[in-house]
This record gives sequence, C-alpha cells and structure tokens, in this order.
Amino acid sequence: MPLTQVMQGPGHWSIELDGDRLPVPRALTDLFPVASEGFGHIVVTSAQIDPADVTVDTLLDLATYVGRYIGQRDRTTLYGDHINAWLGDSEGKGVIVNTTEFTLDQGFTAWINTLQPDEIPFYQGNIGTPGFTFEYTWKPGVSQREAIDTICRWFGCEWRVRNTFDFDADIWTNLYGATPTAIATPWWDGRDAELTGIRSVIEPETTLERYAEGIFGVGSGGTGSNQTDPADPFDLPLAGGAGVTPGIYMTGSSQVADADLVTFLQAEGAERWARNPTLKIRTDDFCALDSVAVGAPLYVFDPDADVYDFDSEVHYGGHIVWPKILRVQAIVDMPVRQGMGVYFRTADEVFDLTDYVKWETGSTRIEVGERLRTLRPALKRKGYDA
Amino acid sequence: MADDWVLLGRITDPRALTHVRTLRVTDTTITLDGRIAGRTRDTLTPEHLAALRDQLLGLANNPDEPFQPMVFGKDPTLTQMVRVRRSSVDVGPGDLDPEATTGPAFEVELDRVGNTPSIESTLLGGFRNVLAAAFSSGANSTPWHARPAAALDYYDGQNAFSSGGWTRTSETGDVKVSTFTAGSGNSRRLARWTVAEDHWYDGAATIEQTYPDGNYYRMVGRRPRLGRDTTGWRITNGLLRVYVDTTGKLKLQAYRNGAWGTAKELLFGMYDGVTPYAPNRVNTWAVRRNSPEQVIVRITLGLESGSVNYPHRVTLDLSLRRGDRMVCARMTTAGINLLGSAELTTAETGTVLNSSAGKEFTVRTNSNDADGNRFVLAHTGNTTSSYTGDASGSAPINISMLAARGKAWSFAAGFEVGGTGAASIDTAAAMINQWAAPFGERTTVVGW
Repeated sequence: MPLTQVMQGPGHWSIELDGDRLPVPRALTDLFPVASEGFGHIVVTSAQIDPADVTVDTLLDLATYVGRYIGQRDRTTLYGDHINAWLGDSEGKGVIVNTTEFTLDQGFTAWINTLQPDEIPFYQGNIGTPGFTFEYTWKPGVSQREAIDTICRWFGCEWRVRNTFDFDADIWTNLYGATPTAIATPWWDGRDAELTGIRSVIEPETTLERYAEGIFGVGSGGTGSNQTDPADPFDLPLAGGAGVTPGIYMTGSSQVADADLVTFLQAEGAERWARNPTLKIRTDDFCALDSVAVGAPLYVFDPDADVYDFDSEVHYGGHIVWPKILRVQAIVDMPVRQGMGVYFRTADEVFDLTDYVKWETGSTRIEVGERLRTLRPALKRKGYDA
Repeated sequence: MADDWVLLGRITDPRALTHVRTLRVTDTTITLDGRIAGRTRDTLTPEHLAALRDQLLGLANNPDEPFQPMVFGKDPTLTQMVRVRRSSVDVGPGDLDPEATTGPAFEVELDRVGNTPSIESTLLGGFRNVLAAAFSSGANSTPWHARPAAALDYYDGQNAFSSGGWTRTSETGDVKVSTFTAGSGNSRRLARWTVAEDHWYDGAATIEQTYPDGNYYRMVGRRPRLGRDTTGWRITNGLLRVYVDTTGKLKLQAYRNGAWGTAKELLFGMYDGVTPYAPNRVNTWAVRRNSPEQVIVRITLGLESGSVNYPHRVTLDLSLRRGDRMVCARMTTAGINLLGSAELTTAETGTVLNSSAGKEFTVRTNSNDADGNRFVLAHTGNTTSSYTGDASGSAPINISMLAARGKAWSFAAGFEVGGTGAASIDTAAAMINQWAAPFGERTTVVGW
C-alpha cells in the first residue's frame, strides 16, 4: 500500500516489509513495535541513501514523503498518516487550541503564533504577512488544524508542513509559485528545460448530478450592523438560473454584509454547482511527489479529452500547447517503487528499511481542482478590518 | 504473380512487401504474411532491407499514425485504411546474406478502418499569444490547415475557412491550404474531409534517416535506428527540407519547379552575458512526433567559445507541418540564461517586415537567390532590435531573439518561394502571419 499526501489534510501511508522467501527478521521489527515507537516517522526518498552518510536534517531535506507511524498489522505492515496530521488527524484528534473561550483581534502572523503552541513538533517556516486583522471568538476544544484552517481561510492563505517539519502559512502563490513547473499530458513525459512532463491518463467527467440553478444562503447571525439574520434566509439565482434553490450553503460570518454574502455565495455556488468537468489524472511517473508538489499549480493538457485552456500558452517537447492550470489537491496512492529508499526515524536513530520493503507497482492518482473560494475577497472589497 | 505486393503506411514501394502468401480477412481484421523484397532481393542492399524491416516494425501501435493506408496489388477491392495492431519480421541468420534468394518473412495484423473513410482533423490553437505586440504593428495571424489536394469534401465545421484554398506543389504531391480569415484568438475547429488511400501521404510531413549505405529512408514511428549518426536525418514536407550539419548549423532547402534548391545555412549564436558561444556539434537527436500532419525532432547542440564548451544542455526542437513553408523552432537551455541569435552564413541585405515600438520581429532578404526565392526569418518578439545586414550586403541578415537573456525562445525560418514574384499566401508577409497562428492537429476517422 502506497503513499498519500493531501493538501492541508492528514493523508495516509502504509509500507509492507518482506523478507523475500523467509520471514522478516525479528531483529528488524523489534526496533519499532508500534506500542513503544509509535508516533515515530517513516521517511521515503526517491533514491536510496545510506542514512549513516547524512544527518537527519539532510535526510529529511532529501525526502519525498515523511509520515507519522501509528499502526502495525501482522508485525510487518506499517501504516500511518502524513506529518500534517500532527496538527490534527482525520478524526480531529491532536493538540487542542484552547480549553476556555477566548476572543482576539489580530493580524495573520499573530494568529499563527497564538495557534502554534509548544506541543507541536514543527519549526516555524515562512509565515506570510497579509494585511488586515481578524476578530474571532474560539469556543473550547478546537483542534489546531481546524483553527489554522479557519484563520487561513479568512486571510486568504494556506498552510503546509514541509518534510523538514517546517510549518509555512502564506498565500498559495508564495508557497508554491504561481507558474506551474510540470505538465500532465498523455503525450509525452520527462524533464524539459521549460517543464517536467508527467505522463498521464486524463479522464474528464462532467455530471449534472450536482448542478443547481440557485442557492440558499443562511447567515449565522451575530452582533453588529452587518449581520445576516439567521431567521431571514435568502435564495439567489445563479448566473443564468431561474432562482430555484436546491443547493444550501451556510456560512459562519458575523461581519459580512448581505450584499457581500450574496456576491460570495453566487461566486461560490456558480463554481460548486456549475457544469464544469472534474478531472481524474492517473500517472505512471516514477515518483509523482517529486515531479509536482501537493498544493502546487499543474498544467494539464489533453486535447483529445477536451482538456485545454487558451489562457496559457506554453511549449513542451517541441509542441506549442494550451494547458489548463489546476492546483494539485492530493497525490494519492503513490507506489513505493523499487529504487526508492525507506527509513524509520525514532527520536534518536534512523534505521534503513530499504532492503526489506515489499516494492509496489502501479499508477498514482493526482487530484486536481481549485480551492474553494473564501470569504476573503468579499471582506476585502468591503474594507472590513482594514 | 507480380502483383502479390502490399503497400502499408509509409511503405509505398511495391518492391518492399511482396510474396503475400496468406491474407485472411474477417469482418473487422486482416492478417497477412509475406516476404520483404522477395522478388527483388538481389537488387536491394542489406541496408535497404534493414530500413524496410524498421519501417514495418514502426507501423504497429504507432501513436502518431493511428490509421494508415493499405493497398493490396492483387486485389484492389481490399484497399482501405487500417490500424496496425502488430507487425513482426523473421530475420534469421541467413536472411540478410547476399546469397539469400527471398527476403525475410513478415507478418502483420490489421484492424479494418474502412475504404476512403471520413477523416476528422481536430485543430487547436490559431494564435501565438506572445506575438500580440507584433500584430499591433500591422501583422495579423492567419490560421491555416493543409490537406492533400486530392482530398474531397473539405469542410471546416464552421464554414469559416476560405473556400477552395490555395495549392502548394510539393515533392510528394500537391497540398491544398485553407486559411481562416479572422485572426485574433485561439479556437478549436473540426475539419472534415476524405482522401483516397494513395494520396494520404501527399505533402505529408516526413522524417528521413540514413542507413549505412548513405541513402535516406522514410522513418516510421518514433524509434530511430541504432548506430545512427546525429546528423543522419532530415525532415521534409515536400515544400521545405530541414536538417543540421555536423557543426550544428541549420540547413534549409526549398522545393520549386520539381527540384530542391541550394541549401541556406543558419548559424546560431548564444550569449551568456560574458562570452558569445556558437554551436559546433550535434550531440543527440530524438523524434517527438512523426505524423503526416506534423513532425517534430529534437536535437541537443554542443556550444563552444574558443575551445571552451558551454556546460549546459541546449535543445533545439524543430517542427514542420504538412503544407508549411516555414519550420518552427524552439530553443531552450537548462543552464544560465542566454541571448539567442540566428544569422545566414551568406552576406545578403534584408528588410524588416514587422516592427513595433523599436522591436523588430521578422526580416526577409531583399533579392532573389539563385533558385528564385527569398529567405524569411521570424521570431517571437521581445527583442529590441534585429539586424538586417548592411546596405553593402557585407553582413548577413540575422535576428537577435530576446531583449534580455532567457531560457527559451521561438523562431521560424523558411523561403518565400518565387521571391519577388510570390503572391497571395506565399508572400513573406503572409507566411509570417501563418506562423503566428499555429494549429495543433490530430486526425481520426469518423464512423469506422
């Protein structure tokens, strides 16, 4: 079972150990029983490195994937989630931000400092400085991931944890760069001077299952003159629609004027319930996580499947092409292939597992799409918190 | 039994695939076997046999040619487009010996696609964004599409191409070029047409590679023969022939009045801000596409200054479409930024055709050459100046491709065939507008 990394999500991984025709020596597995060594880290590199030759920091710097070790099955199957999960796992477990209700009104950097208590094993990396301050009241018992998600959403930012355990939070173009460096296409693969090709099977699917012509908005109420009365829900026609309201969207804002909420909901609804295709991308790339980062923008081009966009003109492999630009939301089920390196890192040691890994084959799924819109543009236009 | 030959794809020589022994036809497939050059074994060199073997093997599962024409000499009623599923050749130890009386055995499995089927060309693009600045100075983009002149019932799906089109005479048959008149944006078009199997390769984009006997043979598929030398190839569409010499100079020949003209030489220069480099060798070549509608080859160039080699990888992609009078080129470097330039190796005066705000985009020589043609160079702007040779003719025309050093730049080169007498879509100005409007073309068959 393979590696999965999800943008701002916990992800998962599993690795099977194999002694070829003989059982895996206990001398190996005794080094990391999950009961005592759980919450250690698995490190995967795209080529084998002797961990004795490098410092742990260098190994992490070279890593393709770093996961948290939380499970063991049949002694030889190890599994866990991505280090993002330190901020809160798939069940929301993790460090809790607060035990009592508190309210703060502060800027982005201050919020990140508030929400990043000492328990978290991350270094503070690049924290952006978007303008404005944000006032928010926290109820007790919010997980750190949830809290950081909320703050990032309001400031139009995103966060990521690098393999080196550095925590970054900034607008996405600062994290990943606005211009893609890779192109997913069925035609070619390999690294050009201009772009890295990721040979892919691209399956667009357009469905009207989620199509809606209208949207139904509900404000959360709150104080201030700009509240939307929760007792006064409203329905809105989407572009071209007749105003019927099969879709429901709720937002928790106390600071957004009706007009802004309307603007936002229409934009949000138009995007979520439109007739745009969703794309499934599968690739046989050796190490997709090395070719494109989760969160980064990616060119996607397959004119036979009508996947193109005339807004961007790029060159790849001697062709002039017009790819779509999409964000990589997740890289799912990337096989741990023969040739890669796998290590287990405890608090004070690194073990090389490479010789005992049961190698995998198969394809990797790249999930693409746009992040959902945030309330940020609406707020900005209105000048709140300025 | 002299008509027991079969023509398959780009193998259009009836001496090539002969002695068809069994030909089994089902409602969806054709399976046949025979001998390569069975009848004329003694007149073909072993290299020619090897070329035929490679061509035959390249037919199968060819992503660039999903369907190919087949003609069976004995039974013309079987003539049709096919998809080649599998091909194999038995090359036993004795089969290439000069004493062998029959050539190697071969076998192919084909899917029947249909006789003279309806062909759909998906055309994507039609506007080179980066040239927008040049268009404001009077240039325009002219999207165009070429098909064999023998094609029937050409229809662009929107009735928006010029009717009829213009004929260009190529070495391998006439092609007809239709232009789309309005040019200010990209679009997707579906052109529909039909052509007889024996005209499918009229004016087709083609790659030719040499074998050790020194002759050029058409290449099928994307796998060049082993042991090739990096300059033993050329690309052609019957109108323009492009190749490189061992010193990395690009050579171009125009086809006119039934013959190929004298080659013009284009010399590249690269400036890294410190030292001007020039190519002095070709390191590798590879095929990126080999379809009748377009071929693309990639070469990597070695650069030198004095006797110092430029340490980074420099690639040159050359793309040629069916019916095009210009070769489109993209040069990239993986190393530090370079300032690219290109110049003719012969001194000729030239004229700037498009310029805007001090930027000059295209240049054409002033006088007809010995073949009656004028040379045209174009690039994608960003430049502050391109030099056109001095009035005395002592300097060659050249273009400097970027205002600032960069990692990639595009340019095109070709001939205004007929020179001062060129007209209509064949004038230099029209050719540049066509270059400014590239279409990516993919073909398939409708309703098979």
